[in-house]
Amino acid sequence: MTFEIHTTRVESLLKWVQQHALDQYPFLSSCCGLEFAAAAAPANRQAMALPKASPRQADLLVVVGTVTERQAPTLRRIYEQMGDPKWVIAFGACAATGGMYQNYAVVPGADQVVPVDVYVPGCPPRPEQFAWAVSALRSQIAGQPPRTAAALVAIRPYNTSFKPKP
Amino acid sequence: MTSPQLQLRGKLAETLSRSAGARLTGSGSARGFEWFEVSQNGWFASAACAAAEGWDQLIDLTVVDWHNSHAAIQNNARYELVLLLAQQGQTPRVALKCKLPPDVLTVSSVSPLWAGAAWLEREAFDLYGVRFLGHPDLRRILLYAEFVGHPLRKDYDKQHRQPMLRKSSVTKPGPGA
Repeated sequence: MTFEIHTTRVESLLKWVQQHALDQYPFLSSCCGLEFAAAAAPANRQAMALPKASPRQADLLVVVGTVTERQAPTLRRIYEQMGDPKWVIAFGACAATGGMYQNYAVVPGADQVVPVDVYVPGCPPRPEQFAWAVSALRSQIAGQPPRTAAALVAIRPYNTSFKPKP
Repeated sequence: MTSPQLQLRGKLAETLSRSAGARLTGSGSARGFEWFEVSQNGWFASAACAAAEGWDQLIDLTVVDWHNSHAAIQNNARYELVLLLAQQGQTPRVALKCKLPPDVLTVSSVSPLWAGAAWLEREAFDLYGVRFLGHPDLRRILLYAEFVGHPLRKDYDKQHRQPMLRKSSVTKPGPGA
């Protein structure tokens, strides 16, 4: 009788579990929200994180579409309702930098409100860009460089020192 | 200008200049409408004159911010309230204008004359901060109640961010209500 013993670290195991069991909470608004629905098509299902109806059950907040000044406190509150560890993907140009809007009503980027880990540029992004973003996030959780096309998603190190503007 | 238009303009100009309450200060013609400038105190009287003359269609009511213009600084008349009126069958429209100083940004509401002016005045209040006396329900219409400031003023920086209020922390309506 033979036994196989594998040794690893608890952290590696946790990371593996976290990156492969992502539950997402999509925070949808405007045109990207509808495009995101297309991104949830069955063809992309295996790369997508499982969508959840409540932020309390999710690890991944996907900010989709324009973040308005009126909606910013709600977005912050949703983010605070999620339990650690949590990650944020900003999907679309408006969520990334404010997009084409530079006015009194639009917040220039979701990262003014919540710390963002992966930015997906596009107006709107193609559905498969979201799959690449999730894949890039998985690599980031594992602490390894991303395997995706780097020109299409932008990543920054996980920001633990984020302080929201008062 | 054709003859009937001349007559028409003359008629309203006469009525406005004769009316003691209106205080006509200027008039002219621009881009297909005849404009009459009246004083801030004579705003309602001139609008009532125009309505009595048959100018019963309210087209628009809006505000211009002449921030930093030479005339605005000289005369302390930064804001200009513009009321566009039309009459069925008449080609030139009529514009009533009134200069408002930034420290007394108050004028009578014309909503008793045209019911549609109520929302247009709410928009002018929301985006410029012009207060209308006698308005039935003066509060913000396009922006949310907790919004701070009046964004279409020229000194509102478009990069300016709003405070992140918690809905639960708002116990009374904001300044726009």
